Amino acid sequence: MVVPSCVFTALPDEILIQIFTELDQSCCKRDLQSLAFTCKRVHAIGQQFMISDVTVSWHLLDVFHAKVQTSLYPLIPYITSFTIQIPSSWGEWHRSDILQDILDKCFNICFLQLTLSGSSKWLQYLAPNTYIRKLKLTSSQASSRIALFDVADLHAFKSVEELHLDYFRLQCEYPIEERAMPLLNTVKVLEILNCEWDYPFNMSLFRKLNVLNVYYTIKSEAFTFSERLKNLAANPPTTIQRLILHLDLFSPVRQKTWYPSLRACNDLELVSLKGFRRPPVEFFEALPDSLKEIELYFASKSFLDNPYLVASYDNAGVPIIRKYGNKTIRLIRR
Amino acid sequence: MVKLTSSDGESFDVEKEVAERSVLIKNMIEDVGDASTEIPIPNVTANVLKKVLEWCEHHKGDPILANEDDTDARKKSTDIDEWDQKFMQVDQEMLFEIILAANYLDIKALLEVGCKTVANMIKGKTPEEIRRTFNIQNDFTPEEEAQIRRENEWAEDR
Repeated sequence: MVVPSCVFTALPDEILIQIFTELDQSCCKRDLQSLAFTCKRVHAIGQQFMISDVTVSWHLLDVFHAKVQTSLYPLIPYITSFTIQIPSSWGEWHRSDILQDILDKCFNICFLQLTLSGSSKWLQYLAPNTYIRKLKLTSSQASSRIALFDVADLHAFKSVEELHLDYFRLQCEYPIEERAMPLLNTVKVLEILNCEWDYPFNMSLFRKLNVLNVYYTIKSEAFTFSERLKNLAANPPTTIQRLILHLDLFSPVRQKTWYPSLRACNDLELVSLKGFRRPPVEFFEALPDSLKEIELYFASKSFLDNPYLVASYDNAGVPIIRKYGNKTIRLIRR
Repeated sequence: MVKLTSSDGESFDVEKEVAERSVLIKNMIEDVGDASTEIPIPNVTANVLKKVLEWCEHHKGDPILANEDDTDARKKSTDIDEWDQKFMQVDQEMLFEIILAANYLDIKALLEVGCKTVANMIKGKTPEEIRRTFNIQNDFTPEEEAQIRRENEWAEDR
């Protein structure tokens, strides 16, 4: 093959695309941009990678909206993720129609990430969409009161399979409204961080839940003392295959002495617990047969003493791996 | 055995299994129906073909990568196994020749290793440093450069 003076820019499109793909997978946007800024040809190919994750603020939403109809128009199919990071009550209530139009035009956006200034209320005015599969809502936490998230407010999101909620009070009106149904019927992965709820809300309302990740930090420690969290552990949705319950409570004396009851979760394959005292043997005896992996974070050294485990096959490093029957137990020092 | 002839006329006798790492050659053998026929490789010179065949020989037992999908295993970009890393320690001209040959011969795994090697050479560099590394001519006017930087602000955290 004859090699021209600048071999790089003479590479066929598919090879340049592959090089961009490799950089893209290493998750460093700056490297993608640096390469794309080298010359016109490389830029033309790299644009699709740079535009895939768009982050806009509410006050620039109009500008972005205009660009989507002009210079960014050919790149629309490459936009797959859309984020509004800085919350704005004005934006939520006065620019949601612009957001709506962007979501309609950019038909490949499957991940929407919003930081909300207050409750989820304004989201109920969005028109139906079936493209968004993953939705992450973060509360701006500006107010001293925890913001409300009502499942029915998300009635427009017909296909969300993965829902992440950060610092909300979760609510679903009883009797369950028709508007709450789409979300309750499509979400398979639910991740909540520092979220609270009141009776009778419970996670089993999500009928197809496979993965439930529940995290608390010291900020929301008060809720970890509530009966509602204990009830979730006592009656987790029976459809789950993976359960993470991490209470980052730092002090060993604050660790919980109660444990999830997993007997009814017949599809459960993994459970990961943090912020609990060493479970008694009854906990292990009540685990469903389907469970293969148990991950236990521990703070005190005595956690390891007098193991209730049948055999230990590797304690050379961290995590310490042990066996209980056919189940693998990973003990991880926090 | 299969006989391959490079663009500059050199012949290579290789095991069928080794040659068939190349989807192009595999298809040609199937089309001809006779593995003993000499197969011309008109786009690849002998020194490059020799190098490509060295890679195919080392990886002859590996599963063939599918066209798309099953990318999970490949997700951890820029992880290159030790042997491949050493194999790719060649001058830039040869590196691109290997990539072009892998593309032409349709050897996905080799193309990927080549592109990962290039991606590793790009990581952490500024546009100017990348230009210098690959001898790329900056054909943007200062106005155009400012413009594209503005356009791409959408992709940056704000």
